[in-house]
Amino acid sequence: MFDILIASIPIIFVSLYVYGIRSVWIILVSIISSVVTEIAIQILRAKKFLWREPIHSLVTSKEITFTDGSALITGLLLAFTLPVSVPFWIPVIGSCVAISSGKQVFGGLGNNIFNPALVGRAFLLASWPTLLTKWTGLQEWPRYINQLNMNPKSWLWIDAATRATPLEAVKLSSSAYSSADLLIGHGHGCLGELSALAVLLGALYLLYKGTITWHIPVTYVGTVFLLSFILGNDPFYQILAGGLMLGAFFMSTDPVTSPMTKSGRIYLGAILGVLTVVIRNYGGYPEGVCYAILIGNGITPLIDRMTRPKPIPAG
Amino acid sequence: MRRGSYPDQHAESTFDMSIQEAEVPNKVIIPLSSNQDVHPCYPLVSIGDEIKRGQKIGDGDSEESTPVHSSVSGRVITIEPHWHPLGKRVPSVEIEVMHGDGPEILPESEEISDPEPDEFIRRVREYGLPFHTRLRAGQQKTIETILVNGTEFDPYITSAHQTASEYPHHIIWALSLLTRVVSAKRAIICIEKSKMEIYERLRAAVKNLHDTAVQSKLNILLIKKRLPLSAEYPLARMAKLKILKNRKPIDQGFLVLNIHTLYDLYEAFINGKPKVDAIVTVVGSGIRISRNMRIRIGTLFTDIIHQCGGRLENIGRLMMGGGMTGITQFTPFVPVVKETVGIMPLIAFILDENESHLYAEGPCIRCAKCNDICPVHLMPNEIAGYGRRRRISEAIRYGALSCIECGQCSYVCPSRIPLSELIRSIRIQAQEMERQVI
Repeated sequence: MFDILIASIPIIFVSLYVYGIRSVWIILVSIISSVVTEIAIQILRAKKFLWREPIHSLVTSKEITFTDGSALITGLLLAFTLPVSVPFWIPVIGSCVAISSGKQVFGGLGNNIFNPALVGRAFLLASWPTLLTKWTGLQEWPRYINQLNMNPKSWLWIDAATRATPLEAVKLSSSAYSSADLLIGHGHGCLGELSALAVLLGALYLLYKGTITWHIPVTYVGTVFLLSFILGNDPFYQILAGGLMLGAFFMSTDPVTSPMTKSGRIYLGAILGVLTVVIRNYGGYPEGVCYAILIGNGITPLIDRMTRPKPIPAG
Repeated sequence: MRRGSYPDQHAESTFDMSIQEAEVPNKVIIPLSSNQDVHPCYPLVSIGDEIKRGQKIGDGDSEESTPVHSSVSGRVITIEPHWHPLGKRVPSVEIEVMHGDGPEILPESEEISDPEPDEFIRRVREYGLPFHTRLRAGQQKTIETILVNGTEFDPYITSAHQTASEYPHHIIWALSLLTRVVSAKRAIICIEKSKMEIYERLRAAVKNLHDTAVQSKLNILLIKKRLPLSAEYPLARMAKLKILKNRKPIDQGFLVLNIHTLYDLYEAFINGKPKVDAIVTVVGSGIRISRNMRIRIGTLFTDIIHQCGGRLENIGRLMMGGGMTGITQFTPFVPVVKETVGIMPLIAFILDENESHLYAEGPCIRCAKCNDICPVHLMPNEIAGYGRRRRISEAIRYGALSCIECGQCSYVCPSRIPLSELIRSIRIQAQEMERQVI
């Protein structure tokens, strides 16, 4: 679990560079609220919780498992799917929904059907669509430092210049970004989708550590590339813009909600690619990664059943 | 072909240490059968009888059962159920050693060059080698290839390597006999690439064979990997032979055996010695001197530990077998059995309550590392989950009985779930269910 935290350090740095210190606050609020939600629900479910020595009980109890880091990762990934301009209660509510109805209702870690972070994001997007699609402009570090004074409010203040995200720009047919910009990180959008390069850097670490396998991300990105090429979009632009890289390497590879066989993972990657391109091109939303992965999670048990390996009979 | 996991072998402690004779213990406990439920074995002696080394003390009615021989000369004290290292109670004969290493009577050995297959199998069974069941299963089929797994899969265990390097002529002789009897087209011994000395010794032994017809059939092959003992499919693939996944290896003409079996065959057919001792690697932090030993079957693990300078009160974990496929024992008062290849006593590793949860088992996160590694293409996490919920028939439908208990799934599991052990318990429960139904 903590490998994912290490792998997301480049993404956090890029968001810090582009959006200023507020992005770190958003991430922290999201992580803390999701861990607190997890602890609260597990205390309610625990058969006996020693209130006399709460800290000791929290750390050593077998029923309270926030130390495994899964809630932390959920909070982190949820924050990556939010724009920087959201009010602070948005990540709090998102994390609560993600942990409670995305994970704990199913029985906790290992039993959830859908990726909890994406459940939280889908809930937020359905409930407050305007807040989640308001994108702010580039926050430059020198300007931010000049604004700093003793007033704590100024630490969180950001310059709200609304601008279209790369994918919205495509929908509005006013492409203002080049592929190189998207790769290195001048994109506009959620915290985690600013720079494809940062995501790839983290993904390389995860692949090296064996936390994720290449099967889903490679087939996912490859399918999107191929379909975009066939449909006449700029394929490089399509795979670099938006949350595709983040979704492919950090969300769809979540072991709990992805198929267990290698062939199943390849099928899922292809299905996700098709769904993403379909939603992007023919759907109402400019971005389709979140819903594509949620649908993919839903059909994962089916893929598992169809790709079950045949045991070699005992000799 | 799946990648498999290959932990460090740690063979330094016992590699190239010649096989020593273990001391004769004061008493031995010889289990009559390891699978008493299916093929029971009945005692042929009664309490108070004086018996000699090599005497048959137990036999079964069916042809599938394997006779048991006494490993010492002495007097029978009790015949009652006793713990077997596989974790069940098995009727056992307890023998008090009277004459130390006294006079032995052994079944007389007739010089046989080419026994008939039926006669051969009958004699293999008479000598108490469990291998006869597989020979009988292969009797109706034409066996084309004999594959010998000369690799040592378990870390720390070197008994097969040591046997091969000390008795190369014995092993080649036994293999040539087997090749003639089952009239196989070829026989292949697979040796790990890093063990060149063993390879050279076996090659020299093949060159010394008189029988040129068989000589051309014997092959010694260097392979890259270490493989679990009963992994027929990966072994055949490593030897670049054609093998189908969906049929049993024996139906496709493969007979797979290991070095220990070949050595036992030699002992039986040349020296006329039934299976009364086992070559065992004794290694671990719980004893002072690690070594390879020839131990009489029925010797209690406690006696071995004392002999190797270990103290029972220091030992926190005792395993039969090596680090991967070993079976943890809950009591040290279990005997060495025919299947024993290693004993690992480890010193106590005590965690207090605050620390132990760090090493506790976690939930399965479906990371599928066990699925990717399983050499027989099972989904260990699913099967173990069914086993936990006591849904044995579903576990069997998904292949629980094909498990070869190589232990790799438990090794790779990031949640520290004892998958291999859970699947083994499913096998035991399935056998019990079968017996109850019948």
